[in-house]
Amino acid sequence: MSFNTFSNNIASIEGGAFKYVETAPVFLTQNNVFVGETNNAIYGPNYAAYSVKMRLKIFEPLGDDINLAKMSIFFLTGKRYYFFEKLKTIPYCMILQ
Amino acid sequence: MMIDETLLVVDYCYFLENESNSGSALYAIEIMVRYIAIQNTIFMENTGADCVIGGMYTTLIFAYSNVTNNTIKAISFTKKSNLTLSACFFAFQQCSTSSKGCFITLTLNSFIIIYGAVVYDVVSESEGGFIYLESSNLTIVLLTVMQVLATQGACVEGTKYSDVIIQNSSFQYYSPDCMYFSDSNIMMQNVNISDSIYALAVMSNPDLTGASVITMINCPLIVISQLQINNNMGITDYGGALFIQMQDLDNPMSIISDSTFYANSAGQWGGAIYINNQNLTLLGNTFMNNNAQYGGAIYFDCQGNEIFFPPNLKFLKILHSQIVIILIM
Repeated sequence: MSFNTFSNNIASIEGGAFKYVETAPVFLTQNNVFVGETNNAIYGPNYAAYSVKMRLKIFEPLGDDINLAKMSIFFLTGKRYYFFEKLKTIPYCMILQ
Repeated sequence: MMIDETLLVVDYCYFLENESNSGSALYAIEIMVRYIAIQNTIFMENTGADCVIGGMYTTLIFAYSNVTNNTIKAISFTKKSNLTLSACFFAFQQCSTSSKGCFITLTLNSFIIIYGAVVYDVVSESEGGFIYLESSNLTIVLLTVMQVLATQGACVEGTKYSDVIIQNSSFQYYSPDCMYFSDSNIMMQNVNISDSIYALAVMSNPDLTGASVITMINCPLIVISQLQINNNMGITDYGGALFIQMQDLDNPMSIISDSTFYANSAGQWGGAIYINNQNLTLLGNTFMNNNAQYGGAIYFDCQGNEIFFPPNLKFLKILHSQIVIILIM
């Protein structure tokens, strides 16, 4: 088995070596080497796997424009939080899971 | 030069300051010339509307020749042409916005093999600084490219179901990216890419958009081994070295093995690699000194859970806030 080696990689926020969204990539369960404590991030110095991102299509109520926003789910201190990114001035959205 | 033979051999010639609408030095089509062999020849300071050497339905062998200081693309072939380039030198080329592929353009089921070539100092105002492909096959062995500027795919751009194989080659000092592929199959082995000059290029052209070193969009097959990508800093938000995006592909396959990603960065996601699909196999790679905000080395996004809402469903009102926190469970 060939190893992937991660060293001195830095994420300023999440996933020093890598971050994945939703399903873990296959290679994550295979052999990877994180050298010492050289990878760094605020959340997940080696990898961040604890957040899930969903995509929502947002409609403006009086227009045909379709905008794409992102809803993220974060787990912090045992609770699950959802928040929208980049919604800005859109007054309404619809949610469906 | 008008050609009326089926075989043309050009040896020890010098094409200087010629001008024409198409093929300022030489243009060939099958009915007049099916095979061209050019060797020990210099093409210099030719100008015109399209290309220095052009043709269709033609086989070209181009060896031991220099193409320098022309103001139009050097070689343009289409419609099932076959080209072999060997031991050639391409340098000091400037092309306008209408000229995709500043040195070589290949379209419509054409094939090209480049074995042993040096490319130096290209400034293109269009895509595909060195070579641009559409629906064609490219094989590169032993190519050295240095100092290439374009708007996209500074060294190589392949689109529309092209097949690209690159072996034992090096690319250095390029902007804004090195290679751009869409809807194409990619195989690379022992390729060295380093030192983006995007930061310098953007000083003279503030409108220039940054990009990953290699962008691969909807490429069903990506097989990369012994690739080295080094020193590409902060030129894009997604994937400092590789940007891999797959949409509407049934069974895409991406394998990256025995490769090194050193000192690459992205503004946001994936200092070395950004991929929006889980079908990536990584074996024996080294990721070192890469950085980003999310995923210092790699960021895996995904296609899943994109939800479409019909407009008559439940509304949720959002009041006076740009970030809304909702507990849904």
